[in-house]
Amino acid sequence: MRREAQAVILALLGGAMIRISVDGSYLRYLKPGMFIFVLASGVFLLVLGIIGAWTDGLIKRGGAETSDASHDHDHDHDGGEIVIDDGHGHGPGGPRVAWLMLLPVISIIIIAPPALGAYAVERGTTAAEPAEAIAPLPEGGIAEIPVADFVTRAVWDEGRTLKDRPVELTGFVVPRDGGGYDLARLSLNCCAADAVAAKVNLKALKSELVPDQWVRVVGKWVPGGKLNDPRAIPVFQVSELEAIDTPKEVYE
Amino acid sequence: MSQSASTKEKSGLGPVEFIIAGLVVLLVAQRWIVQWLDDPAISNFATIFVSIVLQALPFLVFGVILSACVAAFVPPSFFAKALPKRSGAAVPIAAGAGAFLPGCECASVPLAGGLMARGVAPAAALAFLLSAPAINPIVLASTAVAFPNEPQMVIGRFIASLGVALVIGWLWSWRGKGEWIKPLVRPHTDGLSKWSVFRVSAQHDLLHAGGFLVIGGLAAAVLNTIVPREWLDAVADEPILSILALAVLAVILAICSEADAFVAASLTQFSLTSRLVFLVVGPMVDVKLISLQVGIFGRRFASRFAPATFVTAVVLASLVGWWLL
Repeated sequence: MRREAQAVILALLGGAMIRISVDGSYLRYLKPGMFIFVLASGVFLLVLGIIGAWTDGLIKRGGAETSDASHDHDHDHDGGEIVIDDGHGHGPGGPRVAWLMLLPVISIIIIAPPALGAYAVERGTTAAEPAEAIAPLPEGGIAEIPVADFVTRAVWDEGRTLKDRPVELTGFVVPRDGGGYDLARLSLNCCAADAVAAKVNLKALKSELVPDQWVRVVGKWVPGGKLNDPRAIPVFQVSELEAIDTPKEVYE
Repeated sequence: MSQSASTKEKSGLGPVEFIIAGLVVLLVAQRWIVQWLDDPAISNFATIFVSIVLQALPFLVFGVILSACVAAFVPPSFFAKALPKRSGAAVPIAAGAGAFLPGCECASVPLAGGLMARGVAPAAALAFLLSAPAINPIVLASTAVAFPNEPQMVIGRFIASLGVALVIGWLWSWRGKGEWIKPLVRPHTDGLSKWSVFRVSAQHDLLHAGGFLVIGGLAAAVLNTIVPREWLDAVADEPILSILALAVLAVILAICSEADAFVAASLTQFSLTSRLVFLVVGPMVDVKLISLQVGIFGRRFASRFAPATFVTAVVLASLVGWWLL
């Protein structure tokens, strides 16, 4: 691989990382806390690529021989003379495998894969996670809570805090084996590879639903069902259902 | 890809023109490509692939920056003074030093390569490579958060991971051969300024590790998408099989060591011991890491190091689990 190509690949990868962190679409793949890391390493790769292209002569070839004060470390000593020859038969510059770094660039910019949805829920791990202390729901009206929180309250606290309280949940539709629908929401701890699903079974649905459609439902917990079992799926009596657009933060 | 690039070169076109032409074609064909890939399994695969690579890249960059700092700003004499001459004695110090690198496994691979290139004994650098992603404060804290009712998981993870790092380090200083590690070629940096050394080392490491990270990400995404999870439930009640199942799952899933405790916590149908095995194996052996190790240390190294580490990790973590949990 030639030296100019190395610099271009690093700069492209950096650019792609900056783009998805700034436009927020990184939230389809990572949890919000990763924002600054993706942005910072994207900037690092872009700068490294640009300086590399500069000193390796790619940019100079087209433009004038500029001497930038901030780069004078590079210019004083190497000015395009560095030979990054790794000596193991991959030609001058870098290894051929480095070309593969274009794959994530293409995936991010051209394909832009969607957030995980019903397919991942159907074949992934569903877990009702126990919590240490369960606080009462906020006072008054309809309580808007995360799906995972609802499942924990229903399965690990015998639904004590949910009895006769209308609750609002947001998630996407997953068809059930043997008819009917679940409402699911995935949560991430780091990236989509470690996604864990929380599910509730929707009861009293009049309408047909499309898998992966995002919905907001209002209703109540139906007492009964398995308790203290991580694989339990609580039942939810739906009184209102509204189809909504995919939210910006798809994971809980 | 590079073959067609080299044929183009003969006709006067360089790889840069090739990249630009390729991107233009892809941009034009974007609609058809996206339609063609519109299948739940393929998009699941693509999402997992992008997620793993995106999540690993900042840590890889962090490790590469640290490694380039070692190359540029730390004189070789520093390690000669800081570590004992006998590699057997350097192993515990290096393994313990792993507790101070707040990163995950993607950062420790390039850094261990940088340390070796700077004259640190391979046995010590490898002990560091194994311990750093498993016993640093961030990973232990996330383990404590994921297992609020089982604090002994944190202790077990620390003891078992440190133990594996020590055993493998000593095993290497006893039986390891330097020739298994591919010659650690460093870029020629004689006579360059410190910042140029930093830049050239970072670019060199990124190009060597980055491509292999992509291969590892592809493998993990394929396995994550096609291996059915039902077989997990089938073996959850068998004590030995469940340990092996979660050890293999840790290799397949290639989850960052800062997040794996939460996944282990969600595998509630399994015994605590088998979940401890998952937490000890994951940061040391997984498909993405094996690929990175092939990139930095070569195939002959990885084909010995990964199986030896896997077996040691499974055995030690099971023993610690049996004793503590």
